[in-house]
Amino acid sequence: MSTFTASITYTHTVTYVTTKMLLTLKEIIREIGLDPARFTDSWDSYERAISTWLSSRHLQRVTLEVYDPRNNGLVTRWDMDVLYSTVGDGSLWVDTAAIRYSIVKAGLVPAHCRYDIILTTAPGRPDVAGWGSCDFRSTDGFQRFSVGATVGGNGLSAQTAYWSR
Amino acid sequence: MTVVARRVASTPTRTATQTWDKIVEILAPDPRSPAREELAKAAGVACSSISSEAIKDAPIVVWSGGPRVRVYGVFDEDAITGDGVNEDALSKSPTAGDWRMSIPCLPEDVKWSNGKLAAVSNRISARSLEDDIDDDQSESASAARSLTINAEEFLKP
Repeated sequence: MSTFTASITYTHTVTYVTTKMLLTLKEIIREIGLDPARFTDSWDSYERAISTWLSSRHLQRVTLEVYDPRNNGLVTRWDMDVLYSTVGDGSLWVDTAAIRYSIVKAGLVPAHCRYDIILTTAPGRPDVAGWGSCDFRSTDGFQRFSVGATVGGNGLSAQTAYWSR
Repeated sequence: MTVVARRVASTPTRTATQTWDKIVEILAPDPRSPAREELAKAAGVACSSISSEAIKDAPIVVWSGGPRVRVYGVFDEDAITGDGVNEDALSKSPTAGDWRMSIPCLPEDVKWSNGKLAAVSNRISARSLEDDIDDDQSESASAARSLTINAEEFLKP
């Protein structure tokens, strides 16, 4: 786990958590056996949306949906649920080791699988160019497993979980 | 071999994209230069590297005919206080001539990063943060490029 403390504003926290959420997503994509290149093509767009909606406190969840393009069915899913609070201990931290440990348990996906990034927001969010509404793939037959808090800081943290059959 | 270093503030002061934008501004100050366009295509791989803090101890290296430029990222408390940050403009753009760039990344990111970079640039590559750039190797590579013979022209009567 990496952690540090300093005089931290909410803007610092948003910047840090946004960057580490994207790092975590990239690590998951690579470690489950898929190519992160397509994910990094849209890094700027993901970063803009996540930071905008963390700043406005509308972001509720960041989801990586992995699906089989042959039938569009869900193969696995990773959620990062955002928790807002009014208190913090003045530190920023990320725990990628917890993610890697869980990936070992969740296992690899077939190489032909594709993935989408979906952000869930509260009503009244400010618009971000390039982002619109969409639906989740069905999780029927899947179970949700909690990994725990993987990134956080002053009044902001992300709880990670994955779905598996 | 003259080496110039710059240390750019990153998270939590700047996001990965903002950090890369600042690095590009230092390395290719002319916003209309071809180098700007080429560096923009490497943004995804660069942001991946920056977010993992690979550039904290292993620099992005640029070399051409002039001084070698090493760009490090400054993270955490130092990025907030500005301790050790040096984002001064360079006296001469290192991407004005026949330049090359090496971006450090996590060892497990080298393969896909190089695959991605090879598709968009023949000047930019990725290396493991555990590997350094050999001064002599890059120098001789530059020299070899500058001495390439146009065989067709050379054999003309």
